[in-house]
Amino acid sequence: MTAEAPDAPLKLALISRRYPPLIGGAERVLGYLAEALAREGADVSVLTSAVGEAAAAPAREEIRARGGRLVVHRLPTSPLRFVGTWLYMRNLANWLRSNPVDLAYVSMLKHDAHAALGVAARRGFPVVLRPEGAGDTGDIAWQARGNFGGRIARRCKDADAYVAISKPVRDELTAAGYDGARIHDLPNGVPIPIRPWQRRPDWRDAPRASFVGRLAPEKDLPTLLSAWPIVRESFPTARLVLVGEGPERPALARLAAGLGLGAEAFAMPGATGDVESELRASDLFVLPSSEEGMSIALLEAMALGVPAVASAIPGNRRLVVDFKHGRLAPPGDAGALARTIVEQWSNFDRAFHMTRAARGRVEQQYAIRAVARRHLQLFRELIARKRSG
Amino acid sequence: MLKVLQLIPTLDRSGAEKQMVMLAAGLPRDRFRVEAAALTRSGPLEADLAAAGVPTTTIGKRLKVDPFALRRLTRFLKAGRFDVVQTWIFAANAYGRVAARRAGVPVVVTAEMAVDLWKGPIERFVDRKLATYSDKLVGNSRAVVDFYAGLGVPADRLEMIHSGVADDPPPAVDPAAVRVEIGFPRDAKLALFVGRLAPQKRVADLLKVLDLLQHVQPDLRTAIVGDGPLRGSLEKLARQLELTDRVRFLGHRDDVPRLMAAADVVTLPSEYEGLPNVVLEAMIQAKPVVATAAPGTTEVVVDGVTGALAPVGSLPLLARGLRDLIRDPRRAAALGAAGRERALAEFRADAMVARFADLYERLAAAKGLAPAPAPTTG
Repeated sequence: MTAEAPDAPLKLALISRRYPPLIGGAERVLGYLAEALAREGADVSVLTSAVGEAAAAPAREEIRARGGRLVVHRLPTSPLRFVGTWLYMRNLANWLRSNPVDLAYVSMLKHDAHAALGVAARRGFPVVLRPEGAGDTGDIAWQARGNFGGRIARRCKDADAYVAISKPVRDELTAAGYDGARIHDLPNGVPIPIRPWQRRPDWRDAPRASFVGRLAPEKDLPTLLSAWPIVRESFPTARLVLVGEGPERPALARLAAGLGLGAEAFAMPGATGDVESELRASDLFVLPSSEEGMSIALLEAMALGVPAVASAIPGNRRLVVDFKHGRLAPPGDAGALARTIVEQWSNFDRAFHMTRAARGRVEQQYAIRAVARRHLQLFRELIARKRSG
Repeated sequence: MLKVLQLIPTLDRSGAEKQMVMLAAGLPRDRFRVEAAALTRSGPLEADLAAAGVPTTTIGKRLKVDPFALRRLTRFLKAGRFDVVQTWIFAANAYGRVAARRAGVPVVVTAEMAVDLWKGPIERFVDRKLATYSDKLVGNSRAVVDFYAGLGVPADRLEMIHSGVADDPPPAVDPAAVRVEIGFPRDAKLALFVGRLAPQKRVADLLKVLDLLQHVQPDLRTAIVGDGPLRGSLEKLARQLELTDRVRFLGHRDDVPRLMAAADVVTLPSEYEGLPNVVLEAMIQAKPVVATAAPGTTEVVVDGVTGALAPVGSLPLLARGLRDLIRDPRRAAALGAAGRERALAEFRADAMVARFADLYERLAAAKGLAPAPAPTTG
């Protein structure tokens, strides 16, 4: 027992093998959540692996958070497969054994969940698991084919609760035999920037559309590139900027050259730590993905209040009602995407109106502060239940 | 001749206070002798009362719970030998009713001017306890009467008397000069908000509406008159929304009728109201009103006839109401004229005064106080 008084700060371990400075939607979500939990007064220890860019970051980093405390522990691992996983799991278990916590919250139903549940079985703290996705790239699919996936899946069924960020995640958990009564629907949250996006006075001189995210196949960026020459028939100075990094970069560069998109029309400046500034300098946010669970990039664009065009796939439809919070275009159709982008810019007053509705929706449903409070409420209930036996 | 006291917390220039002064000044002198008392402190309206020949006393309550003030008030009521005491606003309603009972005042009337959703369990308990201390609880709108009926005030103690608005001739103004004076372009369209900057008024919604309208109605400017606990945060929000060119916070002003005369439209985005004075004043000046369909407001503004109503918190509909009226001055003028007609028909100050005078005499007669015949002259 660490927290005696009901209002003593909760000691939480937030466990995720990937965490900022690694760049990606899921990593950003966890970063926001960890900070918001700390701001609500919790004592948060993030346990992650010193992998990739994170290897250069300090092994223990205290992040300023008004209200509570947020410390990131980057546990030693190895770049070698199997060995790296084994080292990370061992270090994770050791940390949990020597640092008592009130509750562990684990991102993904993989090795980290297995390690945390192993320690929890002896120490008696509740464990909450959080799948980060559904479908082919989701956690349940991974359990079906990954190494030791079956063993991990069996142990994951012992967790005290599951957080489902979307309905498909909940449905997959239920279908895989997880206890429906222990599944709690809590969406992803994003911070709401204080100043909303404003229209640039001279936007018409060179309207800029931006995509923010990984340059990955499921983002269907070739459709967006193919749409660009069509957009430029109506807006000859229009620029397209892909903010992010990823495996598709060479193919996209080749495609842009093939489409005759020069530097004045197209750019891939790489990843950035300051998405907000990129969006403020943009006149449109475009998300042409063929697959999304709940896009953090889209949520962030909506929270800032920048005009948006997204592909009409289920994940985006959950966030954007066409003509209300932004525009939807049929996926995989460059002509239709170009038309929708041109419509947004041709009716820019109407597009602006939608941005404020989008911001209002995110404020109401996906503000990180409210999401963090709902997490803490769940955590307190689970801790109380565990202690009362 | 009945001796009447009007008891109110302050004599600030605010909604209930103005109604009180209108009533005190308007009660016919051949039937009533009228005095006024401020429970907490006096204020600018004391001069208006003096001009109407109404003597004013200040009790000087200092603390939230102030037994000394209660004793002073009781003594004052005893010494004054009032036939009728009418109390206004929560503090005076609480202190006034207790003191009047202790002093043995025959007729006690309590005025409630708002659907007071702010009232917590303590205030509601006090109201319920004291409900039987007054002979009548008078609400200034149906919404207010329903609210107090819901709190458990018996139906036979409830009465509804609409607030009144005086038909003073509107001040002569040069609208362009007023705009320039408050820092706006002389040809700007001007929307006016007047009220306390408190959560009840939802002025943040108005700012978000102005953010929404910044491109479709770039000539719209808004003056926000009034002060209150949210002023700082509202001014900050206006800066964050980059509205500083388009919105002016004018603070408290003594020339509201003049500002109103210069405005194109008056707006009120409140959560709840009693019977909003500012709307009545707008209507008597033939200004169209864009407001939320808040309890109280809906009894004054007729949607599509004297102005536009949007559901509370519905920013797009509020924005549309403002935009449509700003863009169509002819329609705005027609709605304004209909508003003036309605105010003259339904919310006349002299009708309000006559109904209170009648109520006092009815209640006094029921207590066996035959109003003494007016002294005949000549």
